[in-house]
Amino acid sequence: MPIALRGCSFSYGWGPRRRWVLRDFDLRFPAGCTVLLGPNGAGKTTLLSLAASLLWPQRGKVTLERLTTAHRHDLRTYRRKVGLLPQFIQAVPGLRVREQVAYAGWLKGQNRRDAWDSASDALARVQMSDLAQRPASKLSGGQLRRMGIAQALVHDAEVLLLDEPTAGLDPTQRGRVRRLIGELSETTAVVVSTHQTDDISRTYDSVIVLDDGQVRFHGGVQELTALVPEVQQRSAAEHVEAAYVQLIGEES
Amino acid sequence: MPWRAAWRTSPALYCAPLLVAVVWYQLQVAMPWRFDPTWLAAYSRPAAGLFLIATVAAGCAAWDTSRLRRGGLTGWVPVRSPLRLLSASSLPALCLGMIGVATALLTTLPQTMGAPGWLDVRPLTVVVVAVAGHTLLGTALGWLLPVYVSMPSVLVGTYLWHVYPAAMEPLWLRHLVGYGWEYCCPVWAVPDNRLFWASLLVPLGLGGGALLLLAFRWVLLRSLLAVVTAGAAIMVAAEVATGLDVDPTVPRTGAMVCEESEPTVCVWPENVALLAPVAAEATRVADDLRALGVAVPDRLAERAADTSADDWFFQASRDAEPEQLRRVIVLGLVPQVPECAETAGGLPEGTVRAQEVAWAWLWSATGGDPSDFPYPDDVGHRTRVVEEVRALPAHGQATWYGNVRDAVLACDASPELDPSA
Repeated sequence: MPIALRGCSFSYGWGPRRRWVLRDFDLRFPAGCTVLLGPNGAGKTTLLSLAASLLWPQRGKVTLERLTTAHRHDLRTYRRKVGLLPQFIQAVPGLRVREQVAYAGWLKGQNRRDAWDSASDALARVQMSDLAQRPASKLSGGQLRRMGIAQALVHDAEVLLLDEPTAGLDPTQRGRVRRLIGELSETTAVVVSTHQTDDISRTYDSVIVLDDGQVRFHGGVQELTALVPEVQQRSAAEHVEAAYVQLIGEES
Repeated sequence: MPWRAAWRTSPALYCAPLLVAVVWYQLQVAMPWRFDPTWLAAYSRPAAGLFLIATVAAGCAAWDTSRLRRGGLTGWVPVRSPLRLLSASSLPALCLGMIGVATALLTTLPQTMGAPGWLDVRPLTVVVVAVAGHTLLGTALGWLLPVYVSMPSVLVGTYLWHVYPAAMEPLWLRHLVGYGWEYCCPVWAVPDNRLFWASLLVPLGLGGGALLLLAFRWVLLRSLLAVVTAGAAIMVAAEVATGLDVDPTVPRTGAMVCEESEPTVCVWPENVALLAPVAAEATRVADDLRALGVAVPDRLAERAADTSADDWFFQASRDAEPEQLRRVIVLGLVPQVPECAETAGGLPEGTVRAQEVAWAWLWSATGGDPSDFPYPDDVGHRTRVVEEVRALPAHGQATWYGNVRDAVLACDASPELDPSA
């Protein structure tokens, strides 16, 4: 995983209302499929937004290979290599599903014809080919997420950043999205932010636990679960959750 | 966005037939021509539909970009610049505006007179830039503001921007929004360059401000730059327009077409069809007056840059009847209010009445009915005076007319109208 944050600081607000979310933050995302765990307000969305170049750090830099988001001439190439699924995916009123995905491709620098063709492939990858002609505003929450993922990968991104891709979905849809993430990670580096610990051990190669703008843990799933003693009759998901709770505390 | 989707989902597609119909109605029915439809007047006519065209185009642009805003487009981390993606999304609205301008032109061009050689691109430039500027502004506001703020702001704001200054004082305010072009121009006049620059600078400033709003990432910087740009353009335009009259034209220069009759008659090339009938009527008028001993100038011409108060000039519609032509030819002999009236403390009392009586006498002396007069006030007195003068011998009539004419031009005393005095 080539995205790295070095000495990054980011805050919201000004003056006495200024609130630092990240301070002198260093992180190099590992290759493969990474899950970013943390409670609400831990800084997960800010971290992904910085990594996607949606936000710019007030100090420090974000790099991908030799590209840095601070340099204007690097930014276009950087953004072409990265796809982001925002936490709240919305339909553009009036557009059909394939049109919206093709539009995302065009916004990422593809020409109109390539974007139109790639949209079809991207929808096939998220198993939405049959919904291509449906108005995007008519999609269910789970379908919107999958369309959002198609938008994020329509331009053949090298890195996919998915912010809470399973939030608000029912268990069936969650399972579907997780399987999709597993499939995508075979060809693309994926970072997923979530505060749900179920099924982590089967889907992700590495785990980053973020709390209050600090990395509390960075390692493999096995290393995370090793933090707490094994208890009989506890499922893998419960084991991960126990380790996670130990890291960030019960109150969080 | 795929082009087909951009067009299919844009309100511009659905507004186009309505705009075409309304613009056609506005220019064809609701607002008749004020002057003869010269090519310049035809090119200027789209300005009369600007308040409709710019409002609808800006509204459509605001709606189109507000859809992208509602779709959370910035969260898609686009590679393309906001300028690039928003200009693509507002293309249907811009095309709608151009369709409106083209409709206005097509409504007026078939009615034009004369050869199309007299081409002045200034009014069209102003209209096209105004439509583009307001479309850009609609685009920027649709992108930056919530739809429930941007749409009413753009629709109401653009409409009022175009109609309110025309009803306000000082009068030059109207020229900042191109209102002066709506009544441009009689055949003897061309628009003042100050009208062109004033009405061009304002939409340029608004469009430039809108571009800056879209081009920069930092809210404070882009807002400041946009306000400064638009404000500076409006201030410069106001400086340029200050002092412009309600009719912001200057007399036309160039060669007229003349007929060597008695008197010589000259008209602008667009009015060459008037040459023969005007020459016939002018010869008749000149003969009648010379028979009474009244001196008549050797040349009758349409108004031009070098026309003075002493010249004999006329203005007539291309479809005027012979009697109407005679009337305007005679009117040209009425002594005009001289410049001294402006500098010497105004017109002496009775000067306007003297002009009216002089006109009525000229009309009667050339075969007209003195009571058949365009000013209905005091018809009885005027007719009585004219009948008394007409009862005088030819020499007496010429002397009376000469005295009235000299008194009006001298503007230092009330003209004496009583022929027995």
